[in-house]
Amino acid sequence: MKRLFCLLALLALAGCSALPGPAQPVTYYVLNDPGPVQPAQAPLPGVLLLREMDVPAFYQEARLAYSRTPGTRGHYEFAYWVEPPAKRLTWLLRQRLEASGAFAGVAPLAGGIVGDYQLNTRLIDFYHDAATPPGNVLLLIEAELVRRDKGSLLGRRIFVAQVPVARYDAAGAAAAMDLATTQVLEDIVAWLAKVAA
Amino acid sequence: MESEARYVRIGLATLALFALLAFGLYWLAGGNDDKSGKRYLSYFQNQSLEGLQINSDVRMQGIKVGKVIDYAILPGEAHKVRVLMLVDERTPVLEGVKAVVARHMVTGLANIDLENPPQGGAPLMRIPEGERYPVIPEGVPKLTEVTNTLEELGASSQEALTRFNTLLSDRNQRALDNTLANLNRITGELAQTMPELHEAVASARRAADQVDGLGGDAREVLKGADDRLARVADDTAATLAAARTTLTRVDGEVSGLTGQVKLTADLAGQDIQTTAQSLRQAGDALQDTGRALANPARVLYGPSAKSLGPGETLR
Repeated sequence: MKRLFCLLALLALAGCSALPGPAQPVTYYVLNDPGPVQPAQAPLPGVLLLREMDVPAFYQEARLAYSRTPGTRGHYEFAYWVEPPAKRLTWLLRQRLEASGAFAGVAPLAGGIVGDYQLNTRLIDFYHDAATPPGNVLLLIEAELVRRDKGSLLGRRIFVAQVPVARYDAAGAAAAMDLATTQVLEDIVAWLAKVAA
Repeated sequence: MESEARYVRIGLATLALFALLAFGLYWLAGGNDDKSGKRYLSYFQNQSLEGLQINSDVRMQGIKVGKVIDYAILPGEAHKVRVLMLVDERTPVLEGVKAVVARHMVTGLANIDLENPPQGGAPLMRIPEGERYPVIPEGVPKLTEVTNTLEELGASSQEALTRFNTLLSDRNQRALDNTLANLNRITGELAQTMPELHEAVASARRAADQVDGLGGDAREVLKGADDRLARVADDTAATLAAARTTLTRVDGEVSGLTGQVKLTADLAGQDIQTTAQSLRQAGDALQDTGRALANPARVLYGPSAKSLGPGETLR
């Protein structure tokens, strides 16, 4: 009996030897909006409610995405976002709207605040296009503005930003994604001021 | 020698006779009259100048003060006659004077009477433009005024007679007859019903006495009713005031409740939206996790070299 137990223990240790050794360390990146923020010319009197950004299942994972071949997507194995990108983008957009003063008030949906407008957004794509090194970062966000008391759609638009990547790795992609975020969020704020006026 | 002297005396006497004849003729023609008068013009178109002649008298207040020295019918105006008069310069011809033709009833001879205005005035000196002498307007003779008045009186009388005839027309006479007949019948009936009227008046008086008695009672009843009605009115006013207060409070509460319900519904709608979104994303994440777990080798051995991202390496 003791012999059998020892044999099984040796086999288990032999199995462990087959597991891969220590890999590249995981890096966690913080998505930022480096700015700057342009103050609004004439603030609108209403309150804007910002709904959490809709996101496809692929982008719910908190890893940076890339594409080496058109029509495909993949995740970096060792580059993670601190926070899923859609959630982070929603927060960054709210920060930018508040800083610009485009509306009298900006609040998240379901925050216990009654609003006049509602902004619905959807993250369509956010990846490092690595087909041609070092590649570009592509960000696509769809936005629609709704008048809540009438339930009417005031406007809808897709915003696109394409920013070249400086280095062919996750760090370079993350830096370019920050710039793309700034570009798209700036466009969205300017568009909102026109549509809601 | 003696005969020559006689011829001279005869010639001188003849010359004296001729001179005397010429003076007489000049005197008879009135050639000296112009020196002691003033000339005036008159235009007559409403009065007949029948019997008026050259040298006809011009009178004022019945006294001859001048004469007619010329007249002529104006060419193109057949009914207008221009008469030139010579009036003694001592005669006061004043502004507003009128010239009237007067005619002697027996001889038919006419003269012109000048009638100054009764209130007097300044001497007539003004010469109208286009004339050589002052113009005396044509007046209306007394007889003509009387005639006009008689004509108007006649016309009025005619109209009055016409209206009187209309008043006494056959139809009006019949209507008057009928009215009188009706009046006669009514007075007859009134005489017959007089006793009944007396009785009716007496009954009315008795009824009035009864009503007067009832009035006292009714007054008491009405006074009591008035007091009760006043109390009811006070109660009603108080009730209405209370109801108004209650309704105002209820209205305010309903308004507040409506706003609260609206707010709650809005917030609930936001929560529902967010919950639905979270559920949808949770489902997607679960599906993605299931897909990742479908490859246990990756879980056990880590990523393959093919799945590494740009710049990533396996040590």
